[in-house]
Amino acid sequence: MKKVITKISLRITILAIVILAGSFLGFKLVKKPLTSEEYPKTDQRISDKYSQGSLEESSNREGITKDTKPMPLYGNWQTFTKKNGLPADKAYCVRIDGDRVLVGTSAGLAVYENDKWRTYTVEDGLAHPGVLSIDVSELTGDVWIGTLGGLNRWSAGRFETFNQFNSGLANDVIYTVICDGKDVWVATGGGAGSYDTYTGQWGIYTERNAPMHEPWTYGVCAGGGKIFIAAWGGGVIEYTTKTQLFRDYIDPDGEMEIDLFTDDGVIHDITTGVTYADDILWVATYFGLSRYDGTRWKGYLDHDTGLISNFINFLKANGPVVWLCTDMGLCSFDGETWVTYQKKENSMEGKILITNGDDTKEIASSTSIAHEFVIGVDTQDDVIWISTSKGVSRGELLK
Amino acid sequence: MKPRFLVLTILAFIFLFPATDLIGQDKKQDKKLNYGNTIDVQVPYGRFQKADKNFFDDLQPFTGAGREKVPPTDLTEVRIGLLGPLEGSVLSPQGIQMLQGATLAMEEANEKGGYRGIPYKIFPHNDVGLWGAAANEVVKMNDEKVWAFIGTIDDINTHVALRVALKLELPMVNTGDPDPTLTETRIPWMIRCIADDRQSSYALVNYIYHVKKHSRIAVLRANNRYGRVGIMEFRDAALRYGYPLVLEIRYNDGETSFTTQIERMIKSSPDAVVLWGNAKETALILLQLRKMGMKQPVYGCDRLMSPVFLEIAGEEAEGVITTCQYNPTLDMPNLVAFNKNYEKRFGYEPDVFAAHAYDGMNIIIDAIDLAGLNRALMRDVMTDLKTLQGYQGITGEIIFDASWNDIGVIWMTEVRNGKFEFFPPPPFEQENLTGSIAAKKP
Amino acid sequence: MKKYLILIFIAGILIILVLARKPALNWSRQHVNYITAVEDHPLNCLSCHLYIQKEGIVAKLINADYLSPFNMAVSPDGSRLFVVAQEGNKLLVINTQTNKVIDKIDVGENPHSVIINNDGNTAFVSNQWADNIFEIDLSLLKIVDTIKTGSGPAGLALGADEKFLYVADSYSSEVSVIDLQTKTEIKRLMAGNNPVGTDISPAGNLLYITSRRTLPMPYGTPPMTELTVINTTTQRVKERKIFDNAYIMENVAFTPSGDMAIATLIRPKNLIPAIQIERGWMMTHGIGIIEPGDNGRIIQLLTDDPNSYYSDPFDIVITPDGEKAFVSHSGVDYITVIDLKAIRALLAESTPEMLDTYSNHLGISSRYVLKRIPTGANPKGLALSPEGEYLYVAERLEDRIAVISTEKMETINTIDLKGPSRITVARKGRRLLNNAGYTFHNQYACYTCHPDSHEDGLVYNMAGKDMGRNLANVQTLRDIGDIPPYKWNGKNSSIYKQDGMRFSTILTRTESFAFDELDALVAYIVTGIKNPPNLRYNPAGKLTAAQERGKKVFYRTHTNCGKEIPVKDRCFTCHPPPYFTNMLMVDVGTLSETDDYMLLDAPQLNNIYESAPYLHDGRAATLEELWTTYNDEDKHGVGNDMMKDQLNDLVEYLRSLRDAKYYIEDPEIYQASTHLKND
Repeated sequence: MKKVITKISLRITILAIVILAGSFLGFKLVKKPLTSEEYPKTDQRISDKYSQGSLEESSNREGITKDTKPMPLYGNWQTFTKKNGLPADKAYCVRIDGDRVLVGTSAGLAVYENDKWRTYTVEDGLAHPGVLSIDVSELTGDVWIGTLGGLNRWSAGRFETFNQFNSGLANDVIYTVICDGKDVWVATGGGAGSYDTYTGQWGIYTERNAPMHEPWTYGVCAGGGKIFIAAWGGGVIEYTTKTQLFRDYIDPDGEMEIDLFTDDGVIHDITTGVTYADDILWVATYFGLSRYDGTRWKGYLDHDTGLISNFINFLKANGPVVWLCTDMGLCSFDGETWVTYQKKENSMEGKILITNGDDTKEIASSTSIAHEFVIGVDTQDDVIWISTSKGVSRGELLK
Repeated sequence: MKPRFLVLTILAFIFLFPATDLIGQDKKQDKKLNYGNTIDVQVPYGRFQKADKNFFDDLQPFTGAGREKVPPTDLTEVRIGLLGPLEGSVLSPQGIQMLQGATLAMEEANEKGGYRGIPYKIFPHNDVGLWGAAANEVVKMNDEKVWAFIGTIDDINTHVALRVALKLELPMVNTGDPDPTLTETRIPWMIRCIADDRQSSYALVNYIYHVKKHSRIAVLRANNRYGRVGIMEFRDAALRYGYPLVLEIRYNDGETSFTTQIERMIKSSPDAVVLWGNAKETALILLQLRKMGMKQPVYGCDRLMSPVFLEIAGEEAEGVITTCQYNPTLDMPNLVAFNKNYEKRFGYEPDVFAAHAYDGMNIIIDAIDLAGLNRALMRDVMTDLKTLQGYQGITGEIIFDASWNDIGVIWMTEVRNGKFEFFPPPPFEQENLTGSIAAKKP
Repeated sequence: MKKYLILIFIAGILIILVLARKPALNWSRQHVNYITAVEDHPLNCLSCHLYIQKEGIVAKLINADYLSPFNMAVSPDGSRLFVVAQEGNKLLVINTQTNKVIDKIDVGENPHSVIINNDGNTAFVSNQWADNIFEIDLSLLKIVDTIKTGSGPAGLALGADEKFLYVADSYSSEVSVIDLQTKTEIKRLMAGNNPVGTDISPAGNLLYITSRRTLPMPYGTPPMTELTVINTTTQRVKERKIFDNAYIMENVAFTPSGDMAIATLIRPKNLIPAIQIERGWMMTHGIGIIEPGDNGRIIQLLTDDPNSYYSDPFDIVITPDGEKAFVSHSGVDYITVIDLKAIRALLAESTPEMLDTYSNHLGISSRYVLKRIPTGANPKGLALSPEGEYLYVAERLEDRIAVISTEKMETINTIDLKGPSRITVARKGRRLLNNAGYTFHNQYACYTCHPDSHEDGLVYNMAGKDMGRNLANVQTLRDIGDIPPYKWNGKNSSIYKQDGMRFSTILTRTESFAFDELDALVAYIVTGIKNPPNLRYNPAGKLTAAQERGKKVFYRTHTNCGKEIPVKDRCFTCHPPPYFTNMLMVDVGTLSETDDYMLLDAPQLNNIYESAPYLHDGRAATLEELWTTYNDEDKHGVGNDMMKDQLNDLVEYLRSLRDAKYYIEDPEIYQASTHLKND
């Protein structure tokens, strides 16, 4: 026995057993598919990963200050729900319009002005109570409202309805509406559409006349003399207004279930939103975020960046910062630093996660966004508004 | 035993038998983990590059609000929507079958007392119409306050409906659209309880290239999304086996003469022909290609498995092999009862769309029973891959993957003596196929 | 022998003439009876056939080019009156001391309005049929710049600092904002439907713009017309003031203090059976009063008397002291003088309920109407001298300006604009068309429902023996001389028949026109009504890509699936150029439950873009609805196979259609099946 169990063999045996046990447990933990119930709550996921801090500590912006402009931080969140004036808790979109805020809910258009909410519904002329998108024409001040049942122009109190039966609108479900000078663009269930408010002419862009696989569009934005369309299953369609020519950007790997290379093009062909600012096109998908500077694409996924979730409902760029509405909170990103706003479960308190490279800091916040399932965002000056699955929130820039 | 030997034995044990072998079942699961039941050799780019991200490794949760909503107390009926090609479409016969299958399930549930005494009621909507009508119909369903809906068959309409379902947070059960991309949208509001064209393609490709040893395949498909997306997986799978299609050409729905296409097929000298489209046109194609002298075996998608195909193709249908998402001839008590009850209720045999709609409606009813009248909670039980995983429907055991696609058993059929005879697809044999790839390499 | 032969020949001719006289007379009688639907219309070939000549030497000899003064402006010092001669395409400059025309400046086609800047050195003229504004240097009396606008520029207003010019684009229903430094249009704001009149508040911060047509309304609901309020500081629409049950709001004027703005308007009762004409209130006419401010009221008061209506109010001006308002009534050739003190008193003492009653009260005008001043034919634009002592009235169908003393409230002078001195038959007819004298109590003229000889966008319940049935969408009068029959049911085969005895029985409910008047009316309708150019959709005859595609859809013979479309179901079968009607009766599956069974006259499509709503009963609010909503069975042309973009293209093509003259010699015209017989 003595010969058999030597010191060396014992050590090696123990080591092997440890390795064996470790690998067993490791595989058991890692390989088992997660179910929705087992899926970690965001608090848990984040706290496992990030160091702690406080809001006060954040004031010096250590770790996020860059050579150019520091990432803005927002706080002092104020939340509005059905209990204090919204027609419904579910708010699809929000748009700041001067001194008032327009919120699209599942039960009408809510307008916040002089600290009061007023709701406009079908009786007032709204095409459908489900308001998915709002934009305001900088030229005329007219409000364009995309609903589940048509498009409204709301001008100085008058609702004008465009639908696929009384106008050249492609389809009545308007996922996104934007104003680009005198033109109005929509992303609908039946294709992208344009409406020239001067000539009254409608354009419809589908697989019949644009490089789309199918006529399903989800988002649209304007910038740099171009219109960008988030085409569901078709990547991004670019339309140059001057030449009236299209081109498309699709995921080069051509597969829906994978992303072969993150930076080879748009992350996924199923795109949910587009936004353009500072010569950068940002593309949202349910599979991650993409950034295009006109030459190169860069992709961002939640497993190796500060992006809190790949599931991005909506996004909006303001200068160098893009705001991302995800199912795990509100995220902002300037190409370098990620800031995420989340709500602590069963609490009015929130937290801010700041990620720069591999360095992440968590800051406690006494107020929080209404809900982590964020659907819409808009910013103006020092104020930010978001719409969520359960209410809207107003935040202020922390000086 | 010498110590060195013991050590080596242990080390060999460690390295030759990875830890997961000890788990046994987990090992088997791991081998199945390739998305969509895809065998290793078929994984996109699998032999060249590991993907930066496999999107369907994890479940996409729904983190939105809604679970807290209290069910209404004043309901007189529990409304379930149904979106389908009910009139004005070449798919209307299938749409009607779908409605009838769902109706039968609903009636049976109502006989058992409905939902806590409240009867279920179907709100049917026609998806046929130009200009994205399906989107508008789902909005109407939501306005009608349905709790979930079934729909639909046409690829485009189903995709359009799905996006609206997401916005409305309305549970959707697809029972008739085999478009593989449908569940690859990461929308956590839809499950599909019918096998998709990926599964059909894998089965066909394996059968055609491995079992039957064909190597030159010509494809004639419908010039629509069903044809385009359906053949996509077949083409990719064939290519990954090392057999690019020798020809892929199209026809338009409603065409009756296919001479031009068949002439091109003849020129391509195929070993066999694959048809992908609706029963009527594919039957006409079969007749015409036989008439023009093509004797090659003919394979087809699941829509060929239809009485219409047999009726039009007649004797020429003999030997045609297709896939089918279920086997209606199995001797399962629930299936036998369904077939009997359906024929009694509607006067003729159910088809694949009726059967899957029956299962789909029962899944919705089960979800309501389990979760109550709350869309988010219903969604949770339908998508948690536990509660309804392995659902024993009349179409067989329904296994959902992480995209909530049905990757359960698929069947094949062959027309023999004027009837479709069902048989299970032969197992995939990667090694041989890989070998064939090697052999094919120039 | 030769002599005899000649005599025999002459005798033969005479005998033939004598023998043929009776049959010829009989034939002529029958022809005239058929055309006029009466049996006693004089047999005079010339009275009918001479005056309906549209082209050639005869047409030139019998017609004349009139000036037709329309809108006016007075220079800040009062020394000059600038008159827009709408049909003469001129800006006339009048010396108000001598009351003589001292200059005529050629302006663009169909000028509408003129405005003078505060220095009096620049005039801006809107050219309604040229989609531009002329800037005129008044020291040189020359056009110095042309500024592009939206479609159909009409009323003009200068911002308080005169840096911006606001233009009511009457056809595109917008307001163009013009930067006068760059002379470019910087934006367009949505206005009411068919905006025309403008006035800026005394403080200069608010611009009011009237509109003539009702906003698009659900079918079967009363009209609702908008007065648009623009904040000139933000250059955005601040408010849209809605006038219920009113339309044809031509002009608006602020009081000098700004306590009120008053617009002219008509209150139609188009949804009740036309039998109400004899009840006395089919059409009433009056003013709309707007009290500025957030809680300001909108009040409507009539200017009619119980048994005498003052139809078609057009322009309004208010004296500098804010005490009197003058309203021109172009349908009865009168100016109404309104006591604004009395108006203020009435408004002060009235509850909302009382004001609601007054809006239909024919007797209430006695409280505030000071006087009715008669004028020449068809008084339109008004202008006051700077101090308010003189009121200038553009007597459009007299080519004359009346000068009225605002103190005496009577005409003290007239200014002859030196148009043609003779009154042609067509001109006489035009006066008749514009005059309400032949309607019961002067309730309305032909022009009332056919403003600009077009249509007013309303649907009327023309009570026949089956009251409440067969609602009728008013049709345009443009080009109708060439495209009988008339009425939607095609029962009237000629304009004589349409406007003769039946017309008086059903519509005017008084004596019918005398025969010579009817001849004149027909002569005007056939020769004098022009289509405006379709500058918005087809400015130069070159179709856009979408319109070209739409043209192919219009002329297609096969569906998208390749199936041949039956000839009777093709667009161009019933709507062939040049008028885009085959003038035949057809059933397109659009009859409603309130319609008796009938076939419908295929309407012309020229300038169809400005004729909403559509179909015989006006139930289609837009061209798109013709196919998306009211063509389930493909009876109104095969269209259910169309993709949405194809329908859009088709609609774009239809909007491009312009006057028939552009299609008569078009070599591209497809031959349509005009020979089709009705089943």
